[in-house]
Amino acid sequence: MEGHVRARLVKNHIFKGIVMLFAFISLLPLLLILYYITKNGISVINWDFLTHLPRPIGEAGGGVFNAITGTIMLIVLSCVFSIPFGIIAGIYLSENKEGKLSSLVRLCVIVLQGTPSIVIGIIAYVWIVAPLRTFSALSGGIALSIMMLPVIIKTTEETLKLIPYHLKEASLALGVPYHKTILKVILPSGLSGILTGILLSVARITGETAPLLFTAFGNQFMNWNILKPIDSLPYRIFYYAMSPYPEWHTFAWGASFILVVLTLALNLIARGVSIKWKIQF
Amino acid sequence: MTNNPIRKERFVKWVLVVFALSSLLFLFLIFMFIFFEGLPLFHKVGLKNIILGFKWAPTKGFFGIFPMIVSSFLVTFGALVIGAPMGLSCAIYLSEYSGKKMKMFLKPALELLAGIPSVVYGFLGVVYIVPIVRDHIGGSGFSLLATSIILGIMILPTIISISFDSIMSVPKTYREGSLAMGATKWQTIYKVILPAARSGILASFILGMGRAIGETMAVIMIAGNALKIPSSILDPLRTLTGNIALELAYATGDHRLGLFSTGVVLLVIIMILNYIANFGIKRRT
Repeated sequence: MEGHVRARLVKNHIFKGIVMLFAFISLLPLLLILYYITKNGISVINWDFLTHLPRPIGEAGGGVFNAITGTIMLIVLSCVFSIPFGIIAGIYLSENKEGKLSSLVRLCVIVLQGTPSIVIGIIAYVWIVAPLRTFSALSGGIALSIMMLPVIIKTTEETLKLIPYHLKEASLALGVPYHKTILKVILPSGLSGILTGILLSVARITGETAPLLFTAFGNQFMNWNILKPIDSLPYRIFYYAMSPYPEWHTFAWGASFILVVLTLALNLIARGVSIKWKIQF
Repeated sequence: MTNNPIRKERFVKWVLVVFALSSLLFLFLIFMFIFFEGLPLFHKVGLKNIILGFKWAPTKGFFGIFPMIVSSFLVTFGALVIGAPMGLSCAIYLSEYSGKKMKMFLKPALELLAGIPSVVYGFLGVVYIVPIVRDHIGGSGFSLLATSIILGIMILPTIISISFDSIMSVPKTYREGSLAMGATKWQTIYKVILPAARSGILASFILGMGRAIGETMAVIMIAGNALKIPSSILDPLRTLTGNIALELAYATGDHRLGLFSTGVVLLVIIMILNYIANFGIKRRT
């Protein structure tokens, strides 16, 4: 009996050790990724890198200015398309909890959320690139906005659902019209949740590359025209990383550093917003 | 309608319905378009010749994507072999062993792992993992093994957060009952908690598979993109996503339709996986 108990305890400790080891190993990649990107990337970052255009191989210097502006432009474009649609559809879902249309929209949102980014890229290709016969910033923005949509709809709905019903009742009882109740009572109470959703979805699309390969394409020159191909940070990283030149690899490290800092910052800000601005009912 | 509040109200409700309807239309159109663009080729070439065909030479009229379907599943299972035990142990550690402070630090840190762009994973794979595989194990390094390692890391956050939630939702009385009967902590976890959380854990694995099979950038950067079924874990391969990403930018005519069909097959696979996972999550709650 003694031996049996000891064996069980030993087994207990062995498995605890294994579980802790595996947990540690799964944290390791995050630490390694951050370490390597900082180590290799931070030395590349300087004023020239941020404000110059890429140069052909062989010429020293140059930077990723067009990729930074391109990424910003793509984010703005996709926000313009997705935020109004996403928030209003979210309001509709929270105002009409039951009903055929709501459950259909919810189903579509779930399916869209699981759709891989490359398939969404195909959609933007069929809708915009094929008819216009050119790669364009617009098509990239559309692809990314389709990726943002389910996140925004979902978070808006979930946030607004948590708002107590008596807030709305009180507003309506005071004779405030329905649209003003939505604009002045419901939306401000759910602001932190909605904003968190928007920031998280922006973080999600900032690093997205696959749909951009055949929509926004890439461009080594400066471009402000939304109907022309445009560069973006993830595309630049891909382009430089697949090249055989060591100088370009260092550029890819620099661009990766900027991109990772940007996405992690967006994630952290979203977290901060959801904690700090939260309204307690 | 300017000064009549009732009309205004009706107008607002109407706007809401229109927007909800149009977002529904939007979502509906997406699937319509994918299938409308992808299906004609199935009719023309034949379902069997596409899904079970071995030869992909779209400019010569061969649209076989069987090797890519097999490759997609191979990298997905490889990712699962690496990611599932690690992710599950991490979830067990977080829910059963770690203190409150550790949990406060580890959970957000692991969620950040999900925020790192896939192209960065791919770049790190090219620079570090591919050379390690090439120098120490063999082959060119661009291989099933390297891809599985990277994808295994990429699906960790999905597996950890969903299986953590399902382990946490096991009632506390189950644990207390088991411990009171004299079971050790490990026996409690193995015999009581894991079986109780089984469907949620399986769902997390399936969602992780869905993520791995839809992943593109990291895969085209480290898989080697060869057009055949890999015969060992050191062989290069090309997945369904990789096929679309590599060729759509310059494809025309039937070639383009072939890539759309690849997208249809991919979408159907993922929808089936997500359906199964949602079923698992629903049964749990």
